Amino acid sequence: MLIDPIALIFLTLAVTTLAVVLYFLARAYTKNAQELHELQKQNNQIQNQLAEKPIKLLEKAHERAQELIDQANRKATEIVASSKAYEDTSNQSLKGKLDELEKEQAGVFTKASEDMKLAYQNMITQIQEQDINTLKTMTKDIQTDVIEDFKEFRGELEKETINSEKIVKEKINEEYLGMEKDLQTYKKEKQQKIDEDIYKILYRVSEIVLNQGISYDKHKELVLEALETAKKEQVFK
Amino acid sequence: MDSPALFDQLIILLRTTSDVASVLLVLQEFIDSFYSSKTHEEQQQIFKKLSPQISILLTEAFAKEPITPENQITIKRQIDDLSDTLQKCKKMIMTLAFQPDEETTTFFSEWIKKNVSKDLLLDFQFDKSIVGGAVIIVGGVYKDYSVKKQLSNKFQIQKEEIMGLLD
Amino acid sequence: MKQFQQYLTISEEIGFVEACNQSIVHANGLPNATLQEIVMFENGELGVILSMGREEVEILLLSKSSVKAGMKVTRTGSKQEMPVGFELLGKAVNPFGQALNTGQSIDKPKISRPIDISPSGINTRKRIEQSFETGVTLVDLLIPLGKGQRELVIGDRKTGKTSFLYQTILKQATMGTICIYAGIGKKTTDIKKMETFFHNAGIDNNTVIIATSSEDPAGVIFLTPYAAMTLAEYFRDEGHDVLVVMDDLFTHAKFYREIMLIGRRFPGRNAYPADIFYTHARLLERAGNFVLANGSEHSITCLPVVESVEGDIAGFIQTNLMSMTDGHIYFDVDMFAKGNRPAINPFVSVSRVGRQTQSQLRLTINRELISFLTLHNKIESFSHFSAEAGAGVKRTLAVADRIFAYFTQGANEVKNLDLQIVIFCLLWADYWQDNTKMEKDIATITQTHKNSIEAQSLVKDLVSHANSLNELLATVRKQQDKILSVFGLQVVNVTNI
Repeated sequence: MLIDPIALIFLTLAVTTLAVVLYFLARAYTKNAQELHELQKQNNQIQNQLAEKPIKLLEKAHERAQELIDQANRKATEIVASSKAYEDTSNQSLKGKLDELEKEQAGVFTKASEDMKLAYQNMITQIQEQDINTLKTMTKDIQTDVIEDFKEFRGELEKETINSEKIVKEKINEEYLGMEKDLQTYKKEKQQKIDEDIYKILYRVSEIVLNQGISYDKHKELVLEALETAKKEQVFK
Repeated sequence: MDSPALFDQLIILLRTTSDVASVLLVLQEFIDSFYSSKTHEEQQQIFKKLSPQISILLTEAFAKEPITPENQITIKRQIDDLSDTLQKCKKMIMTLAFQPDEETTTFFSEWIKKNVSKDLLLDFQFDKSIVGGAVIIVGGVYKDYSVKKQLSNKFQIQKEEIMGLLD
Repeated sequence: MKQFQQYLTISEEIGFVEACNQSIVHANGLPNATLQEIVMFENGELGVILSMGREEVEILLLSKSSVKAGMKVTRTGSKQEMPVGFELLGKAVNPFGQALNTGQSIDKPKISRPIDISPSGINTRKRIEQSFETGVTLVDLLIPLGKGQRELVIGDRKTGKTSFLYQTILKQATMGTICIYAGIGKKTTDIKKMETFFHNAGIDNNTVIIATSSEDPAGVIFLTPYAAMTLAEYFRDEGHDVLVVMDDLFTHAKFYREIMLIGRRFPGRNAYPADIFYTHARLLERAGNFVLANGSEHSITCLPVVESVEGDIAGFIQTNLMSMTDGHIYFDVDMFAKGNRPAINPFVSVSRVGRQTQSQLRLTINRELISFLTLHNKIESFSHFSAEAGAGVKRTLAVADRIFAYFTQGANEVKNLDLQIVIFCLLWADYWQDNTKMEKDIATITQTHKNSIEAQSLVKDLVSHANSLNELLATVRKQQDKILSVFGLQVVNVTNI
């Protein structure tokens, strides 16, 4: 088979065109890639710079803070030292003054306590004497009161004993009478019951005797009598 | 014979409620025999269970001729009427302290029929504790004519006298 | 009771049981028996003659044990009687005067009275003039009762009827009235509960319980209200006012129906016997206000109870009882469901006699309240339309709300009427704007009144000197500081409506 020459020319043209286009594309691609690479580099640099700044700021702040703290410490130690000195002096003066006061007061107290002791002793002796007198009069009064009360009580007791004797006697009499009455009632009831029982026995015995003693003809007669009585009483109407 | 006339004749011969009960039982048996294969003679024999006089009367009334499907209904109706009348008879319950024999029963029954009413039937009950006499119950009325009652009354009236004897 | 043989010897009449159908016995004999006479069977059981035929008598059994055919029966010669006396106060007994508690012994009263008698004639009766307090504010103000009135208590089951009865008995017993509670075919536990309630409330000395349980014979259950009325008549004749509560006559009618159907009576409306009206009328007519032979005036007030079904008060027994009583107090099941306690419907309830016993003051309060509540009813029905309510309408609804809260009363809680009138005055004068505060204040006032003689005399003075609501309101305004300080309330200017 032979290839058409026109077609062949056309093909060759097409291929050439494609190759040219590809060449331009490749050039553009590499150019873009290089630009991108450079941009990325720049970005990384900026980021590093940014990261470095706060760290530096922190370090600066830390150093400043440290300086301030050191200053403050120094000032505080100075103040403490001065106050300690002041304290020592004031302690010493206070101690001195206290000692003086103590001595003074000790003197006053001893004097006052001695005075009070004297007065107290006097008061006690006075009170003692008063109490002794009061006790003496009290015992006398109590003695008389007790004796009187005792006399009264004795009289009352005698009265009450007599009364209660009477009451007890009466009570016993009452109870006795009551019991007698109850006994009589019980006796009567028992008697009555016995009588009733005897009565019932008698009745029962009469029944039995009559039962056995009535002949057949007598029975007939009794029934006829009953019928006649019923007729008379108009039971059958 | 019609039922009232038969009843009048029959009631004279009946003394007690047990007599009536026997008659009713026999009449029922007679009716039952209509529907069985009993012969005329066997049917007549049924009435022989009763006393001779009653037996003759009932045989004359119902079993003179053989029972046929034609006369069966009439005879049954007559018997039912007679039974109803007998059941409606009044009764008098007498409680006695002894067991009366036949002669005594007839004696009392005749007294009742003569002095009170022909169709009043007796019903005897036995209770030894009444000692003697009778307790009569008729028409809802209760009368105690027993010796026990009389004895009890006497004892009650003369209680003091009796108790005086004890002292 | 004597023995059978003794009665037989005395009466000389005998019968024999022919047929026995549950509580009805047919016996022949007993030619001279009379209606309502007590008869005794051979085994000692009792019955009462219900009717007599040519050949037989019909006997209603009054005992649980049955009788056999052929058993003997004799007359006792006496009618149904109940032992009556003050020995029964504080006790629970059956219609024969026997203790319900088996361990309890009762000194048997020496007097007996026939259970079923004709009511007194017109010449012994007097117009009802004294007021009867129930201790329930709603009833005492809106449905007032009088001593000697017969007021029917009607409502569905579990609507608070028994609580109302408890309150009334508690109030009246503390005022010295003798209260008799007739429990008809009740459960044994219910009878026990009532006994415990009376005992705990300390009103034993003024109360009697006559009760039968549902397992008792129908004949005995039937006798219960009659026995209660007999005892009431005895106490009336001894010079006391009496309250009789019959709980409940619907059950009584049912048992009577049972007896009559077993006795083969021809059934009437709803299978009740034809004389059911007479059965209840002759019972209730024995209550009233009476003048005794010595000229003194005493009353028997009767509160019969009847149960309605599904709110239907037009039932046969219910309408019968409404026509033979002097009014009715209706316990509304809808109001109960809404939470109103007591669930009494004042528009359906009626008191035909109570108003004539009220003072002028109470009459005016009654009229004001009724007209206000009627107005409230009309307004309430329109307020369901979602239109905007005006200030007047809102105020009416608020006041009505407070009034219903004021009427609310706990079970077993009784209130002093005069005090309730004074509280009503404060409410009417708008002293309270808030329900909760009102309830608290009312509790304070009640407690103060109970403990302080000054408060009691103040209330009594206020009420006794006022002839109308307006007069009382004026007095309350004048003395408001004193009143409020006596009761320990905050001083606020009270205004007229």
